[in-house]
Amino acid sequence: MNEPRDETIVDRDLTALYRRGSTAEPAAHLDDAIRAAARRAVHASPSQPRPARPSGMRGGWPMAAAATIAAITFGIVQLAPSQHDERAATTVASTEPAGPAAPAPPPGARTASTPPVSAPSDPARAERPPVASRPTHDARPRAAATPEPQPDVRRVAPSAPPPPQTAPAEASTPHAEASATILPNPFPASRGAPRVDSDPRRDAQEMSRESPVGTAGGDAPAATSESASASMAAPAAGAAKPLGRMAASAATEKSMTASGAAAVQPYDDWIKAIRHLVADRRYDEARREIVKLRAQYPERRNDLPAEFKAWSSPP
Amino acid sequence: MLAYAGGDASAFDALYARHKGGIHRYLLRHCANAGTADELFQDVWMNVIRARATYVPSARLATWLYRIARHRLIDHWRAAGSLALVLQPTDDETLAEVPAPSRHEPERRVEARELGVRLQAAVNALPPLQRDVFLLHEEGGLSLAEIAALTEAGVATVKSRLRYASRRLRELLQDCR
Repeated sequence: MNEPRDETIVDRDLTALYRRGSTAEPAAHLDDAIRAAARRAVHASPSQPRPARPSGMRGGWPMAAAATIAAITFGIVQLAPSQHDERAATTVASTEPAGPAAPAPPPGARTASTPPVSAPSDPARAERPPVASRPTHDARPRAAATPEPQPDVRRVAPSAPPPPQTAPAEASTPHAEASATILPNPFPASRGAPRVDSDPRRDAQEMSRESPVGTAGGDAPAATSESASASMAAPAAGAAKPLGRMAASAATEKSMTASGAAAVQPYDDWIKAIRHLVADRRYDEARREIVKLRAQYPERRNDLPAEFKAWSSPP
Repeated sequence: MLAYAGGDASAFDALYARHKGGIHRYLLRHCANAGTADELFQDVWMNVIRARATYVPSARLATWLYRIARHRLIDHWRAAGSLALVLQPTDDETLAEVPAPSRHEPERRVEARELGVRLQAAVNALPPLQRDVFLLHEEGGLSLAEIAALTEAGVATVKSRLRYASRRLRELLQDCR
């Protein structure tokens, strides 16, 4: 606006002199740096300033996610062995006979002394003894369920030494283990398998129940009914004959009174049973038993006691 | 500047090429140190780049650029502790009588010296406010009114400072003519 007056203030000679001497320029590298900064600023953001980050985590999300995945993986790896042990222990427990309907173990398991499938690795489980390594007390019910034929076992059982008259817990002795080891039993853990340790009383009862009627047929002497009963139990009882006789007579009475299956009884025992019925004033039952006795033993009709002869025919 | 603010990088090149010499000499004459002048010069242009989004063409671009340069220079002086001495407002008449600092005086008046060196020494011999007005007038091409607005002084004051500065320079450069 006042250019002429300004020029009058600063004369032309001074201005010309100043222009001539003012040739200083910034360095080239300074020019390049400033121009590059200007271009970067334009390319980064044309005109608007960048909004501030809402939080400082935008660049940290990948690292945080990777750390989380690593921590979870580490935890799973740490838990994996204990789960495997628990699974193995569960498998062992499942092979144990939890009850009468417990399934049979795989055929590869031969005896009750079979080592456990896998030993638990954690100390908590190590404190508890392995279930499968318990020797013979558990082997008995396993053997009871085996479908193998029993005669083979009974043939071997009398050769075993007489069992001790102790509690069942004491039956789990090395004797039982030895028997179980001797007998070839492909299903030792099954409940249906025959017992390898023989109990004479139980054997006598079983034998008396299972004894066929024909064994005491007409050829059998009447005076030796008790001995015949005992002789039937003898193969299983061996040296325990008195016990076997007692068991046989008890079984006879029980079978006569309960089921009325008097046809299979020896003659003298049958007579005794009938007398018991008469003593108990169970006359109807006594009469039926007499009829059956006469029918069963027609050749001993004369041996019938006199008090029973009147009952020989139905009233 | 508007073109550069709109994303035209080449507009900045043109802008820079036009004003880089004047701003650099303006800073160099004030500081009398090339390193400090380069540092301030770079800061000035960085501020220009950062301020492109908020640039409003309310005045001439040269006025805006030299205002940024002057503010950066004042910051430099303030940081150096010499701001009160440099920009102390005094009467122009008194300023004319105040002798220049020893560092601003030409240590020796060499006859065969280059004109630039003598010119630099002469400018350095000026009082800071006179030197500032003279440099804004000669390097920036600003008018008295623009210098007055930039320096927040009256036009008459700026005119007086310019007159005293010219007179002083003529005396100092008398041999160079």
